[in-house]
Amino acid sequence: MDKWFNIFPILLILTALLGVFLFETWRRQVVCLAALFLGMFILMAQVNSLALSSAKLISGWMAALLLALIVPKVESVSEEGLLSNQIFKIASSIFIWMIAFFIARSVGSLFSTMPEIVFISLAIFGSGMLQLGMKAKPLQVILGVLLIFAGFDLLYSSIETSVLINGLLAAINLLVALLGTFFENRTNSEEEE
Amino acid sequence: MSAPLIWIVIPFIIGILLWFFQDKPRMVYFVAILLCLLLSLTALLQPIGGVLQVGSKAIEIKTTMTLFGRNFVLENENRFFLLFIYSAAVFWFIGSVMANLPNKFIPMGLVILSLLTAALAVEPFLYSAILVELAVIISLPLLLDKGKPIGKGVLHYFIFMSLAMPFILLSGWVLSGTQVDPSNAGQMRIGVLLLSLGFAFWLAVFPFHVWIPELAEETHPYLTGFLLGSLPPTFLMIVLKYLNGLVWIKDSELLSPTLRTVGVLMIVTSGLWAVSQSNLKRLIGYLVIEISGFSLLCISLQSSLGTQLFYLSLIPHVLAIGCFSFALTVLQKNGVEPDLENVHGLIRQFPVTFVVLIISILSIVGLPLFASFSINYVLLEQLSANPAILVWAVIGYFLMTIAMFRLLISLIGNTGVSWKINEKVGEIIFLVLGAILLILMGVFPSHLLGGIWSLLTKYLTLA
Repeated sequence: MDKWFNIFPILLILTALLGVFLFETWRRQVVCLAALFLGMFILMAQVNSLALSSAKLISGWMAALLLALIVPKVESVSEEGLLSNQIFKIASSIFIWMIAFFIARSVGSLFSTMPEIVFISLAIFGSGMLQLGMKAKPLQVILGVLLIFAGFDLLYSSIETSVLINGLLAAINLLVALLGTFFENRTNSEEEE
Repeated sequence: MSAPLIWIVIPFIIGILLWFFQDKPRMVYFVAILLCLLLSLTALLQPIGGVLQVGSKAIEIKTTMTLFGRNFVLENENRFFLLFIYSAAVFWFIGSVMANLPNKFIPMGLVILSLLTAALAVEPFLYSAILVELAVIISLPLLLDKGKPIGKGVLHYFIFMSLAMPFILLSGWVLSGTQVDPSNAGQMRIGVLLLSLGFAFWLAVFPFHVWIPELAEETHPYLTGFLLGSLPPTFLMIVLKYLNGLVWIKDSELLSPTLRTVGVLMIVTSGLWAVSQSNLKRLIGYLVIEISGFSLLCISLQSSLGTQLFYLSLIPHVLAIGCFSFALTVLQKNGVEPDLENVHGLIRQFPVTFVVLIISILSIVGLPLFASFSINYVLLEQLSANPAILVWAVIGYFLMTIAMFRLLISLIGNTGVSWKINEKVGEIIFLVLGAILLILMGVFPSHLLGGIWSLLTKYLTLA
């Protein structure tokens, strides 16, 4: 790591990822997602223009805000085996991050960007995959897809500077969040019926 | 005026405008059908790059439109796709009223089709993944039935399509590096691996195929037909474009065997699952996987004949998928759960529907006298140099035929009910027309399919 202070955004992102996994309350998960976008912004601003990084941060936060407006009728609280469940989630997350760490160097040789960015992109991407693998509820799927896109976006925006492409990627993030609100509205209206 | 403006921007904007007129479904219906007819005819008759004469005014149809530094290019070689996608849209939109689809289907359908066209037109072509993802996200609200929970099929469709985008975009970046330095074999391998993964998600190659049958089971059959009749052909067109764009992949000795293996794997696995399948809605999913496998085999020939077979096969295949999904829609409207146990002896109550259902399967499998027979025959003949592939492909088709016979045996069971036509007149006309076309293509392949091809080569300069 060339810049020692990057340890702070990396820690912020890893903590936010853990939060997304461990919290059972929707709002807390979304706050963690917003924190993750902040950490990504700090890293992104070092390789991209401030304007582009800010645009990514704002679109990420807008997506988080859209998701925060959702009030799930049933929070996914699992009473039984809470501790073992959380230990498993932490262990699997750490395992994913370790894999990301070990393959970051070889992947980094393909993409001429900062190794921190490669590592954290892979960690976020892997965590998104883990989220999709472990949870099947529509909102959790939305969160998983957003994580995958966030990891990919961090890596891709450091190598691709096209305005159209970055704009479309931001639009996709927002649309996915919008889809989340649509999913939840649908679920709520079904329950009311 | 540019071609992308005509075939991408105009349908996109009209689709969005029609969204606000959902309370006037007749107007939406006629405007959309008229627009798609016009777009199809323009694709057939108007050369791109030529001059369109409107009265005394001459309008040049340019190939390129630039948006935020990226080009959208539609050339004469894309006119087949434009003709195909918009004439298929006429079929889908006409049937949508009889299928009782929600009013938002036509506006959203137009937007989805324009985005898929944009995906094929965008340069550099690797950015098509983003536009496909947009089309997928827009299609999702359409797939959710009122009063039904969000099923795992819809979620899996969303997940797999979303996973494809990062892989394809990253592969584009890696492979663009290899264009500069072709000696970097490691980078090439990773780029190809990423690209293959992306396409495997898109085309539902085993083991990423689960979303297709699940989606087909959960959603309205006509909607499934529309999506599965539009997405895989677009993906395959994009595959062709990628192969043409990346010369060293096109020239690679490994390309043809890889495409053949993947294609035959899709045919065999789809046949294998279809044979043990009792749900007819899921069967449509397996048929689509088989069609994609067939198309990959055509592309693997890497010759003008292969491309011709691929283009020509799209017509009977999508028509058969359309007929199959409409037949399932008729059953659903009449409260019949399309399962082998439930359809026992039902041919006596819905004779037209079930006959068309069987004709559709036979047309896709390519049995003699049915639509795809001549195309399948030519393809298998071309594959005869590779007996292993040939044998496996035949096994795959054989398994699908067994699935069809299982359905037939279940249908002809005697339940003591007398014969009666329960379908409505409009449904019968729609089904019978489709079935007649499928049979005519099989009985007179040189006249009908050959005629279509000579028409296309004449107007679209496809030769």
